[in-house]
Amino acid sequence: MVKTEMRLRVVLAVTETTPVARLWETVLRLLRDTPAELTALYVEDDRWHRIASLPFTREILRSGGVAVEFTQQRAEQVGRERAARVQELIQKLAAESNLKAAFEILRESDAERLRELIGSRENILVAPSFISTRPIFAMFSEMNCRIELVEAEEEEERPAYTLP
Amino acid sequence: MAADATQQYHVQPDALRRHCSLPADFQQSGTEMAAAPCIGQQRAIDAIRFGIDMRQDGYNIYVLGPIGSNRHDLVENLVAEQAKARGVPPDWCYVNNFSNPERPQAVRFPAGRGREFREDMRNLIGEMQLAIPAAFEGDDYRNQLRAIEEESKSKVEEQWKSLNERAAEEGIGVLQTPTGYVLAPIIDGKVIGDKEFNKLPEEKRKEIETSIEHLSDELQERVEMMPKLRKAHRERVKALNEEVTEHAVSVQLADLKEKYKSMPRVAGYLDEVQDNIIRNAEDFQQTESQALPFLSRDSEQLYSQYEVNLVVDNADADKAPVVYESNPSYPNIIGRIDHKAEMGTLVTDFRLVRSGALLQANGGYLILDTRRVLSRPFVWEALKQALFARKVRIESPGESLGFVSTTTLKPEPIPLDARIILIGERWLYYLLCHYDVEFSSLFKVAADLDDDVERSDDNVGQYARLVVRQAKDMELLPLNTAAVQRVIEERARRAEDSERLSMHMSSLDDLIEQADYWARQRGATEVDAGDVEKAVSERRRRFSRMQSRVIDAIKRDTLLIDTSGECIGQVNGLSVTDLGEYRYGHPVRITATTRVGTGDVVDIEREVELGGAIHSKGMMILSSALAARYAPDLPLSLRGSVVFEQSYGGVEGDSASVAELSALLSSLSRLPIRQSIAVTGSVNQLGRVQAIGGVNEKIEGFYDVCRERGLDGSHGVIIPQDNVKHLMLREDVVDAVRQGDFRVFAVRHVDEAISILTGERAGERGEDGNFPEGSVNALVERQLVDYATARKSFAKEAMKDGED
Repeated sequence: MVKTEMRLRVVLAVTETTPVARLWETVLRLLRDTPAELTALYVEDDRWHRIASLPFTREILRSGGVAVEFTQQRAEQVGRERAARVQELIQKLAAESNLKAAFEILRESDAERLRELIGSRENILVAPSFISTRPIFAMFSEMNCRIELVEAEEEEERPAYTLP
Repeated sequence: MAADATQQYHVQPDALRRHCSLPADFQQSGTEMAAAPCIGQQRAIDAIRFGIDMRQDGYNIYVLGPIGSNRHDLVENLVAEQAKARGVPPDWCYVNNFSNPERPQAVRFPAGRGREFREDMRNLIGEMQLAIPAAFEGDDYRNQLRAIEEESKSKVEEQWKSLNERAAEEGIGVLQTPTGYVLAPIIDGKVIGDKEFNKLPEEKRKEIETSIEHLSDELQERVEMMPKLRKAHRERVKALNEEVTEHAVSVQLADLKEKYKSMPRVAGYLDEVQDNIIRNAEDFQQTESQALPFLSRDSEQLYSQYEVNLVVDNADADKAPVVYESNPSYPNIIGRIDHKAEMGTLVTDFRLVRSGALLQANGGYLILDTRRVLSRPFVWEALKQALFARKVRIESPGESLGFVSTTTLKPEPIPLDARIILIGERWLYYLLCHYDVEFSSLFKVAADLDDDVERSDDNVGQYARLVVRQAKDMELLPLNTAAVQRVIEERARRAEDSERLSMHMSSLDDLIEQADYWARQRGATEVDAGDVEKAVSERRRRFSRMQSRVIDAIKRDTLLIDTSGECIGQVNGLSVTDLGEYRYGHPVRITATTRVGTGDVVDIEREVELGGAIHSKGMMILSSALAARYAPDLPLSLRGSVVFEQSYGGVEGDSASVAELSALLSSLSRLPIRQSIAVTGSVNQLGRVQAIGGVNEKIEGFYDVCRERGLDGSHGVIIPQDNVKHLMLREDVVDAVRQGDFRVFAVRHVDEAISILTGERAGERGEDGNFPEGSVNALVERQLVDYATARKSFAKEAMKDGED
């Protein structure tokens, strides 16, 4: 694991269901007032693994409606793809704002790394309000940093089918 | 034989060169001048007219005549007359075959309408390029499209909404993965895993499993339904696009359909265009924002499929076409299919079909040079194929021969109705007749141009006017009457006949041009006879290097030719060397030896294979003449040999047979032959002297050698009487004869020749069956009898020796 220097940092905590664009305005405001490094912290959700642990779960493929087994391996793959999608969105927003943003994936149990990232009092954690119901929030609360919760509901991607 | 005894054989100076005499005002005698090559060619002209008038198949024409005889002018003039009467043939276009683009359709139009149709289609394309995009960008279309999209979208969303709601009611979440959907139990807003699930009461677990099972089935149904909804959406959009496109083009196309309604093929094609545009309406919406724009058809390609390829355009014609193709290669005759490079590949379409001369001449006349047609690969077969099929099928030679199997265009064949006129030499005509069994059925008319025409007063008059006109046409100095007369004399010389005129027009043009040059050199404003003579003599001088070397070799006694004194068994024959554009005569020494033998006359040239077949034939004839004429009751007990001395090349022709027979008779009679006289002529078995070729060159060749050594009145040449009419000797030779320095003898029989050569009378058999005592023939016969006697006694002694 990379040893992180204790420098002033704004950490944007997101999940796969976070409406990132909604939080981005807060990030920009903070960075305008306080020059700091920006790190996007993707809090990994293990729901795909939970779904995969159920014996009756099947994935119904969009092409043809075939049902296939939803394994842990597939869950891992879906999690990575979700994280990649969020990373892509953040990089795009950062580029548009002429900012540099580091991106890290954090497992909910990895407190040590969390501490390295936001353990300092001067650091600011920006997170969606719904995260307060998650176990990870308890860890956030134990950190010395300032926490800014932005009012936001989970943005679940609705199952849909696009027209040609 | 007395000197004046030869007088009867002298050819008078006036007969050595037939001068031309034109009335001084001949140039004003007629403003209408005969077409250059038409003089005296009525038979060929009638044949050509017959061929071009005949409407049935196979009456194509082969014009036989040598190069330089202005065959093309004659044919083009005659064909041009008929072309006016025949009328303008139709136009032909190639258009796209929408159902099978590899086979472009050929469409026929009345002359001029093809171009009009091409313009109409260009205008239509221009209008479509504006009207169709405008229709798709209009509010009407957008509103209708939006309505369709919203309706389709709501149908889709409705499906998902009901599923989501039902799932939520049952505590099941429908989650979307990158490739599909997953149904998961949710408790307290959180997806649960196996640990949480196992902690649930069994009843609850069963309930969840059942819900997921049912919802999975519904989910699958919806997923399967989606393609149908999409397809229905696409079809509605397509129908909308077609409706919009049809509306956009129908007005323009309706006008065109009305305009061409009397032409069913065109009207049908316009229907196909309309169907195609409507069927491919979506293509007209394409924008450049596609991911791979270079793979899509651009706007130009899209509209170009409705263009018209006008391959035969007779809009500007006022008569049937007359086409002369100077380079009759396969593509130039049949046509070709061009290709262009696109993305590293060669591609083609109906617009790249190119017509050849056959289609350009369709409904008219195509003039071709036979030699060129035969020398270009595949052209002859392709031409015949087109004539037999009466269709022009444009395809590559490789394809027609089956060498190439690459898919390419196969344009619809176009009916062929053209008269083909081949122009070529006679030998090619005879070869084609002999070796190509199809030739005669395709080229039924032979128009045989005479190489020369009769030197009648009428023809001379026409010829004189032709000379004047040629000079005028070529913008040369005018020729005065004397010059024209001199030209005509030269044309007789070219024909090798004082009674005929050569119709080799390119050499006539050369002569007039060169006379013009020499006239200008002396600052004259008109060409006179001296300029023509200068042109002739300078031309001769330019070619005379070889001739000069021969004369020089004779003068220096390298080539042994005696021009004075007498010699037994030795005579001066005459030979002609042909250098292609020029030929000259010179004497050759012919010697003969005789002794007892078994009746053979050995032709040494033949023995060493230097003698040609005709020469050998001449030798055999003279042997037969010898045997038939002398001592007919005795076996010919002679062995003679004849040779061309210092001849190291081939000898051909029988024109030396009189000379050879004379040398044999001299050898037999032991009478010497005058070396101041040369002899030429062929002989038959009865001793009759027959005409030969190149008589003028032969006489002049001997004259030149004698003149170099000094003429003393003893020199002369014996020629066949039948050749007198061919005499067109140089003026200096004629002058020498007139002054008595040189003589030309004309003989009919070998007796006359031998009497001139030996100075002794030949002698005819008397009533007693014997030749007169002391005559050449009596001496010859005596010698042959002696040979026979000697042979007989030798045979007896041999038999006696054998018995002993």
